[in-house]
Amino acid sequence: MAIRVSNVTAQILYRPSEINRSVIDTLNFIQESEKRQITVSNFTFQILQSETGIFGTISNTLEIVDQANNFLAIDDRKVAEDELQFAQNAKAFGYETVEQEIEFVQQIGVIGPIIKNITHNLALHQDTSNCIGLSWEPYEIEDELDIDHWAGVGHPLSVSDTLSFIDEVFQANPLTHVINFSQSISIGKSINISDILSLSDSLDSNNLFNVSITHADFIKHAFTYYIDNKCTRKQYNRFQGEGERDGIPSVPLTFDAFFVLESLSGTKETLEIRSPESDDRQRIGFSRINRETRGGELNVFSDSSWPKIHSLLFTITALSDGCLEKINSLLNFFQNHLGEEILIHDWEGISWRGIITTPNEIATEDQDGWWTISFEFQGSIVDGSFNDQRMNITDQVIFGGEWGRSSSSELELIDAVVSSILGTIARSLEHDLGISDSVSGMLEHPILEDDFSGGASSLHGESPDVGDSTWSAHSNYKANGTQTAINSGAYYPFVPENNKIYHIEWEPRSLSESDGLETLFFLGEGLNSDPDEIGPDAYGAIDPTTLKAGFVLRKIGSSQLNACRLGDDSDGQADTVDFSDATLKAESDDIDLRLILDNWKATWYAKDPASSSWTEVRSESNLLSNDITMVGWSNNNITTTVTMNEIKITQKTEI
Amino acid sequence: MSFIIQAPYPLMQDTLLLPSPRIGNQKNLSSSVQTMISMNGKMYSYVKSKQGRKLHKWDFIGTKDKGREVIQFVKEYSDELVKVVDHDETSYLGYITINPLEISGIGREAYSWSISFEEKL
Repeated sequence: MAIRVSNVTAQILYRPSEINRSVIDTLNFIQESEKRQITVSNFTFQILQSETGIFGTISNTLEIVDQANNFLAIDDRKVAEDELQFAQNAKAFGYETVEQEIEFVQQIGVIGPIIKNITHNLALHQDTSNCIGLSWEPYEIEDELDIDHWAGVGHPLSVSDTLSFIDEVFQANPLTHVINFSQSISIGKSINISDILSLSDSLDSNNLFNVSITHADFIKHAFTYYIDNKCTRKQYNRFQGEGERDGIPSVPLTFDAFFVLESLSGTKETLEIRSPESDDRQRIGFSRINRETRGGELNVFSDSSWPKIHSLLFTITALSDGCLEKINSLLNFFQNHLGEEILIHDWEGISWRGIITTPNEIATEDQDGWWTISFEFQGSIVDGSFNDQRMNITDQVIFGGEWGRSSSSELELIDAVVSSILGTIARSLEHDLGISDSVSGMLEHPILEDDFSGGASSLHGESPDVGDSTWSAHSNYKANGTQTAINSGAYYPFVPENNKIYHIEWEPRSLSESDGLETLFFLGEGLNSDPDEIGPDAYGAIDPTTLKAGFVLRKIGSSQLNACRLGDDSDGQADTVDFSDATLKAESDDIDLRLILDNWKATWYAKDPASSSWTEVRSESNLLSNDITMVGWSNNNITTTVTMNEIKITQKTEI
Repeated sequence: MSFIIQAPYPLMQDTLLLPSPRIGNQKNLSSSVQTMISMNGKMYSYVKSKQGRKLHKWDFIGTKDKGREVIQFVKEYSDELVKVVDHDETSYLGYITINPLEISGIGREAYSWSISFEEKL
């Protein structure tokens, strides 16, 4: 079935010089299915305007009815197609309304044994874009495209119903673009039903006047609310009942009994009288307009700028008329400052600034010599402190004893500083007219202290009780101070400083000497890298352990000859002098040894452990070499042994 | 102590000797202050200073004869300057302002009356 339309021209002609109200253009096409075709040729349909006048509308109706009924598909493998394309143009000039309606009714009724598929395409294009209006005559363009598209089949295996259309509206004025969709699929039998409605709404604007286009929100939700509370219901009651205003700040009572009147102008005058009676009054006066409507509603109005009068009424009793003459002073104060601003400082510490409005109040002598008067004061509270603030505090200093001292009194200052490190310092001061301060004493600072209270493990690597370093000792030297005989020693790093005094003390015990053999207690030059080194370079005879100053406990023949020794740069036995004290020189058992090193000068001391006093066994001597880096003890043989009870190095500072 | 009123001042010719007044005698300033508040809230005060003159009022109780004596004295010197020496021996100079002077019986033979006085400075 085909429709061929050719050479059809349908147009509406009008004369621009005339303003027409309406033009009716109707084009009817009727196609009958029996003929299967419509052939229209050389058809010209036109409307010629022959009447003058003013027309408001142009109606261009194009109705095409294409009916295909009773179509019998002989060959069921063929597809029945029915395509209908329409194009309608409506051009108008100078009309208020242009209506272009295109109505399409396409029906396909197919009766056949087996229908494979029916394609029912409805392509529509309605274009009302070429509307040219007058700039000074706004016009409206209504472009409505109503499409009723339905496809019905008897026993379809599938039904495809596609509806696509494009609706475009062009308009110079603000654009309203509404697309209404309604899609429904009704079928008799099917395996499944798919109802998909895909919507795409796009808004394109080519409008020079638009600043922005918003095409997102089509739902607006707005709400208002009202909070009902006391404040909203009492806004006009500014002076009654509850309100939002803050109360007058409370002022703590000071219980000051004074009531002071102070002048602010003229002669400065301050009058202090007793406080008023407790029935004093405060009066607040204000201006407002009250209007009550006929319905009983109260309307109150007050301007915030209207003055509010604050008055105080005082009654003061027992004002004397005798020697104090308080009542006369008060009346004179009233007279001297008539109508002038004054300050009143009341018993609560509140200051008021205002005017006494009743200076002519009557004072009554209600007791012999005592008067009572009342007066009124009009003013306001001022921020400030009480004028004549008095501090009712009695400041007393109570002490016992006597402060005085005689001219010959002695002022003794005992300054004792005791600590585990420093010891005790005591000094006395003489008190003449000034203070002469002579202080003598030594400040002690331990550098090394070790009582060898460790176990039988090697002393090497052990830390002393006081000291920052560790022992470097032959493995025969133990942490408990004992040793197995070896010609080596145990040493601790020590570097004396210039201008310092050091006391180096050894307390050897259980000395066992053999003839010609020595046990040395000394300050040496250096250490072997291997602490288990043995031989002269390990027990202080030569470098690196060369003795610089120390003691030698030795036996020569059968006699104990303890001695003092000095060493030079390379010979640790350069200078040996026996103890000057014969008893200590012959001591072969326990002995305490002390070497005082004072700025590279050595003095040797020794004592019996049971004694508390030291005996100089060699006088002060200059060291032959100042290269001292360690302290310790050693044996120069593999026979003698000694147990070290304690070693100490103390730095002494004279103060 | 007595209460003395002498007139005319300064050439006193008559002296009125009265008992001490009753408790409750009064005195006050004759000055007055009137305050007004303008539309902008500013307060203005208008004063009548009266030169600081004081008003006094004493109440007395005495016999009727003393009352008549007071009437005669006031009748004679109501427009004259008088000198008052009160019960505290304080002297005042001024005018007797009571008007009318009224003596009232308060018993068989006792009468009371009041005398108001305004100082003259």
